[in-house]
Amino acid sequence: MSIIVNLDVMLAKRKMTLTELSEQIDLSLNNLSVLKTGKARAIRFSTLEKICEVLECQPGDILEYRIANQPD
Amino acid sequence: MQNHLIKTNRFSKVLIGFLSLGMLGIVLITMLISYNLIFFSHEVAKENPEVAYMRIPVLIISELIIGLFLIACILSFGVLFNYWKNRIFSKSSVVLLRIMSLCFALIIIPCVVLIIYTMQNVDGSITNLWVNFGIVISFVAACIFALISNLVEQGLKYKEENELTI
Repeated sequence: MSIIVNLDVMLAKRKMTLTELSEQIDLSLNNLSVLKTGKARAIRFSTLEKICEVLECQPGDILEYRIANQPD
Repeated sequence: MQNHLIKTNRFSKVLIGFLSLGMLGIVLITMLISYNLIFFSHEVAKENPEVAYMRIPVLIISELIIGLFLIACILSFGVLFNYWKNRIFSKSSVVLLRIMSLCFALIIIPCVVLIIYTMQNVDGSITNLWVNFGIVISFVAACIFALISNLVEQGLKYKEENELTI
């Protein structure tokens, strides 16, 4: 998928664990894990809003568009 | 809203219970018919010695039709069990429904063979009328089950899409 989720990067920057984030945004750890590993097909604006609010960042800090065949 | 959902769920479970009982009855009756067909074929062969040579081929074709029907009936328990466990939108349900559809479609082949065989050996047999009726029913059942399996497959895709929306 061309959309990369940089949730782990933002969590590391904020020195926060996935469990803490899940508690603060009231989302299950399983769902957050799906999002973090890039297995999610879509993300709700409400979820994105909560994540941005807690991590004090912009949606662009969490989501990134990368051309499909571009090497890392 | 939640109460409504619970009531619907209970109604579904009652319906599944009735359907399972009905299917069990159909399976038992079909097995009984399959068993009695052997004795019936002997009687028919005794009453009509001029077509007695047809007993074994017709019996094999008939048992084949019954066997395919039985497989479809037995597989329906798997689908009903998935429905009972709220797992109707699963790959196993799609596979089971596809096999059921295939079984009904395959029933058409021995039916056609039976018609051709009877036409070649007996003049003006009324059996072919019933077999034609069986072909129509099998075709309709195969189409219905194929349609349901496609429907469940589509539902499964929507379910996965929904589950992976965070």
